[in-house]
Amino acid sequence: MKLNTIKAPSVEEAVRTAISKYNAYEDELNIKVVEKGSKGFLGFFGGKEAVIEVQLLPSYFERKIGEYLEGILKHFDKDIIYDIAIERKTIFVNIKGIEVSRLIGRHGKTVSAFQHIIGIYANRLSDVKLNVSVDVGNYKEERRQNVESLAHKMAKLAIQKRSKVELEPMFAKERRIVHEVVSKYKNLRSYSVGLEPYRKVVIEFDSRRTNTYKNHGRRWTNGKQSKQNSHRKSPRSNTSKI
Amino acid sequence: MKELLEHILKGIVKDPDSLLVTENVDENGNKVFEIRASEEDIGQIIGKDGRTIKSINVLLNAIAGPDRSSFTLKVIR
Repeated sequence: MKLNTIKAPSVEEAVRTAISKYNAYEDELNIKVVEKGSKGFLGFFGGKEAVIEVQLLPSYFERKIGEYLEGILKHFDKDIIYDIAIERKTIFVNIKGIEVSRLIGRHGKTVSAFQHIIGIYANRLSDVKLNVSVDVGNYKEERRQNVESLAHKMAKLAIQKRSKVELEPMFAKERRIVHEVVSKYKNLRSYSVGLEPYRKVVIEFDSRRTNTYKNHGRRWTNGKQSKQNSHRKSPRSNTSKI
Repeated sequence: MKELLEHILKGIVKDPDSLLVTENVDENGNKVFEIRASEEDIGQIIGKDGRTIKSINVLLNAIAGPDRSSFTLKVIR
């Protein structure tokens, strides 16, 4: 994930520098020797430095993040297990335990906090942008399902009422799920109103009449624009005549 | 608690050696953690719109449990 060149008098020394620099084990590094380096005459003249390219392997990130998380969770008085999986540039951290509700927080506040902090830590280790996704006790997955089923329910209600339905305030990610669900319905459209953190989704029944109204408005601005353009063009066309 | 705060902060700053956390009590008898760090790390600790320092606060509260004494975090330049 991270590629770095290290120079040292010999290859062995360069490898040692890399290991101490990143605090990594040798098997967590992908080492490519670019320049072997040579001692030169009597070890003084014409000596060439060894150059290696070091790449940190996913196992390194797994261990580092694990250690960091361990340091946080050891202060928590309940027994907890966690696992870390890395897929391309996304790191999935899953925290499980018997009494994890405290680690979820109201509206998943603590889950977001975990994700934010571990995200910073992971990106401090790497210079490529990494995504971190933290889930505690399957909270995120369950919440996603809940929001999805709610969106379906509200969409059906909007069709039934042939008008618009306002949902409760939600987080941006949850609103996105609602928009995705609504986009599958043919004669519905959705948008968000209000300011964070009270921003909420509105699902609206979209009849043909609202469409024509929109087109009408657009045509008016187009007409105005083309008029302005022709006005602007007129002196230019005069110069071309001359 | 202080140990946990230091651990979290050390993971997110660039220069862990200049990080200093001190525990104090303010005039109302509340616990105050004062955080001192190098100039460029201060921005990182606070985060955009104070998001990082808020997250740290949330984590400390969650992990310390309901029977903890209340505290405030102060980032000092």
